[in-house]
Amino acid sequence: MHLTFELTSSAADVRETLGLVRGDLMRLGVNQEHWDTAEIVLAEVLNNVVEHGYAEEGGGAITLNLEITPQALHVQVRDQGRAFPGLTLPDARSHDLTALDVDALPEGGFGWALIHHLTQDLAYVRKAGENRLSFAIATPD
Amino acid sequence: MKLVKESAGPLCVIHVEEDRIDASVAIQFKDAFRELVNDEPGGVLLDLAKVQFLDSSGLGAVVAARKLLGGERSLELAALSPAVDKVMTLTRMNSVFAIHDSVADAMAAHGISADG
Repeated sequence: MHLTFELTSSAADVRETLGLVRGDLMRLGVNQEHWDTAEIVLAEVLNNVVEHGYAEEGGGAITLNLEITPQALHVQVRDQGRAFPGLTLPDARSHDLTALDVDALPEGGFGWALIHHLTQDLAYVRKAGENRLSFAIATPD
Repeated sequence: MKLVKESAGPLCVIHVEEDRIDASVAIQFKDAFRELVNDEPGGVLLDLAKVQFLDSSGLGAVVAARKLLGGERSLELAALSPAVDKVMTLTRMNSVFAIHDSVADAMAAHGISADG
């Protein structure tokens, strides 16, 4: 089963699209736990395109392709925004939080840790002026 | 962004009356929180029972709320949904905040009776 969603680069559009994806996936029998994980990853990936790929400029096109199999939800995200620096994905940054003062707590930098942690087969290519990010989210046991 | 403040003895409870704290409302959350806790001298409990989804921007806003209170006042969290709990755990932010199963549990931990 294939689903394709087209959206533009704004946080409001990301929120609306996630609502639509949720409705479709629930209808197709994806369970709540799988969706909880998928929603976290999709929100981080799509908001990253909005904030960095298109640098908060509205109106950029984003295409979200989903393929559902019994084993996993396979995702491809395409956009025409800026390429990732060095054509590589950011690492999962991890913070040592216990040693930090309240004032030094990080307010960002969580997104890629979540993406790396919750996905399999995470891959990125820049092709034909597009960013193409693909990954899978395994169906929970 | 709808937040409701309730004073429970020494503790100020902020109920988040939204089902999401995400990138599209993170700034509004921060601003609304600041307004409500401005003149609160004591600790704050954030009731997340209605919040079904928190992304990294939303988490950043909760951390910003924590920093706003400074080292003297605490920010504790109550009633995390499974998706919110997952984000808190994976980012290890569950080690930064005291987290309670419910507002009533948090009150009890502070020695405040639930009907008071």
